[in-house]
Amino acid sequence: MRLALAILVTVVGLCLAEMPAMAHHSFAAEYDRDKPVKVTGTISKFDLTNPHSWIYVEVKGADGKTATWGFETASLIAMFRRGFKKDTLKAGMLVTIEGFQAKDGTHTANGQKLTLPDGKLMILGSEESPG
Amino acid sequence: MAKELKSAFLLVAIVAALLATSSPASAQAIRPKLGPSYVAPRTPDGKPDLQGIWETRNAAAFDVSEVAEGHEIPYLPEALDREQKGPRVDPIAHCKMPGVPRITYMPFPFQIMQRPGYVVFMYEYLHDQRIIQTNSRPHIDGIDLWLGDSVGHWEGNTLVVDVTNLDERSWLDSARHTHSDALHVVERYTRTGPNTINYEATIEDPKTYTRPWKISMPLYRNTEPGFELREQECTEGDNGRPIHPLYRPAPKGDPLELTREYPVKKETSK
Repeated sequence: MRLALAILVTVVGLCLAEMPAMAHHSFAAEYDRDKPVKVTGTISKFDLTNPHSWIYVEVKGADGKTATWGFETASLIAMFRRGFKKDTLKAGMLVTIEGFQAKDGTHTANGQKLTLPDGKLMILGSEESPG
Repeated sequence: MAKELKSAFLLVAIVAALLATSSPASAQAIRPKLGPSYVAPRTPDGKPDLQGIWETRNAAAFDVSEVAEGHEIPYLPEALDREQKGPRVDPIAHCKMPGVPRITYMPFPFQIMQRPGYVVFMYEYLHDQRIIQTNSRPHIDGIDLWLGDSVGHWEGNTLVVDVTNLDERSWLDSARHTHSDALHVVERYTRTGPNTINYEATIEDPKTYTRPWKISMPLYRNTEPGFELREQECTEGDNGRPIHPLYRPAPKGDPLELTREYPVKKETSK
């Protein structure tokens, strides 16, 4: 009985230890959970592709300069299941997008939420399962 | 004498005529009825049994016009122009899935398995699969996939598969026959004997071809005892370079031209 309990605890422990790795590859290596970002800008490109899709947004900074932000999101089929089609995002569309910035400080982030021009909220990923 | 000779000739003629008419009948008695009228055995749910390991024996993967009706692909002039300006490296050289119908005539075996309501195609090539519902559901909307969206139904002895949502980047063969995202393929699988299926595909794409065109070929059962589908992987050992040589190198100075010197990844210890 004690042995069975020990095995159970070990197995559960191993499963929990595995979880961050299973959430999605490369998040922890590339992105910083302590650097949430939220930008509003116009879509320049939407790559609905595998293994991960990318959303590029032109964002005007406080200094008046425009920077291109790249948001990494989920695979084509995962995005499809979250309601995206290849024409959901078109160049020039004004959107607000939230995510976690890359550790290297570039204008790259892991996408979490996106608000379409009509106010509709689209999920790109979640904290438990980043996009 | 002349009369006797005449009747002898007549007898020979009658016997010869009888032999001539009876020979096809006797041949048919020995062979099972093959061809379009062959009636395939049925699965428990009463559908034609297409199960087994099948393969093509032709060169369609290299040039699909080999199996096209009239050996002709009816291109629109603007589609030919687009093709000339498009990518020069076969997508499968970068381990892309071959698309439909190319997956069928890749020179690798595939296995068909049936369950009530769907038919499963397992391809040895890149372990691709198609799980095809036979309920004529509507196609998905808004995304393109390398193997597209396949929807099936049964027409008598034939499995009909309607395929749309195909990624425009796939080629029909290594000879760079291309298509657009408007490609619509209707495949027909009909058993013609114990070890043969007739495969037919109608290829329609109003952005690329002037009219729908048709390819057809036999699929042969692999009858080797103990034969099983194995692994046909694409990426290992390629060091990031195309795995097949360029079939048609781009002209000098073409931005699409690839260098033949590929960087070799160094092993890094962790």
